[in-house]
Amino acid sequence: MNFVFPLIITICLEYLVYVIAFRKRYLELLNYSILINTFTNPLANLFYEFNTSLLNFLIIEFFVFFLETFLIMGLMNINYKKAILISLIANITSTLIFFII
Amino acid sequence: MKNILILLILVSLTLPFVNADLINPGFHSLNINNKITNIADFPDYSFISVCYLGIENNSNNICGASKVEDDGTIYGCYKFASLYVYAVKKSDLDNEILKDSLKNFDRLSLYLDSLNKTLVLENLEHYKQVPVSSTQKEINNDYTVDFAKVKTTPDKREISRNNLIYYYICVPIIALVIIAIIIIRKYRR
Repeated sequence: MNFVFPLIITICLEYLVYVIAFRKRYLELLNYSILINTFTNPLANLFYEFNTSLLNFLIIEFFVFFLETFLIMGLMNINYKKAILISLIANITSTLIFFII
Repeated sequence: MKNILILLILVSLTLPFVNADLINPGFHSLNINNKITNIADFPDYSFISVCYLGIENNSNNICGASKVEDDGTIYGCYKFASLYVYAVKKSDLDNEILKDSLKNFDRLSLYLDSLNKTLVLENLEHYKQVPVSSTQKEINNDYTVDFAKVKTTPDKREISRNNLIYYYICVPIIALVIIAIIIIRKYRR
């Protein structure tokens, strides 16, 4: 179950970024964070398995950022500029934490 | 003070090499089983697996050898070593030298140089590190030996996977369906 801990950390961190960005509908934001990350995290793990190089990791992170931007846009009804910014901050934060832990 | 400084420099210089011999954080080693499937086709021959430090099968780099089991099982060796398999006449095989191969590399090297051997498998994959989140549990590589051809890749490769593979496929699908339902409902309002 070594994937659960990083997943929970990612959900919490991205939730924190959503809360700072929106400052309302906290429970709804938590649900969105769980849904978005349970969609992207297992897929990222699966693709990382094929090639564990740093370059592949960064490519996967870019695709995760790209996917999450669309999901944030759709779920939170915001424009693409704000979605890109939120997704970028959320993914940079979770990637940095991944390197630390 | 000077001695402490020299010691610190030495420790800091050797630390990266010590670390290189450990498993990377977030990774675990994977069990790789290499097997010759047609060993019974060569009743007059025995097969020996030889480990060389580095990538070249140079007798100066030998770091161990073992006899391939009668069922075809090839034993692995030190993770940074390269694994080669040779066929030798059964009459030339010296089990005693092979058993002591880790104790006396010079004797092993001389013995292997003296043998009339045929290289059949080259640079076998025998060690792999995978992320702890990996779905891979074990790799089984099967080789069909042919004296006329040196093989580097297995004829058959089976990767057994753990239950995580179901999680990695099912959970994102469920999450995506829920996300799609939420978005559709929002746009219908």
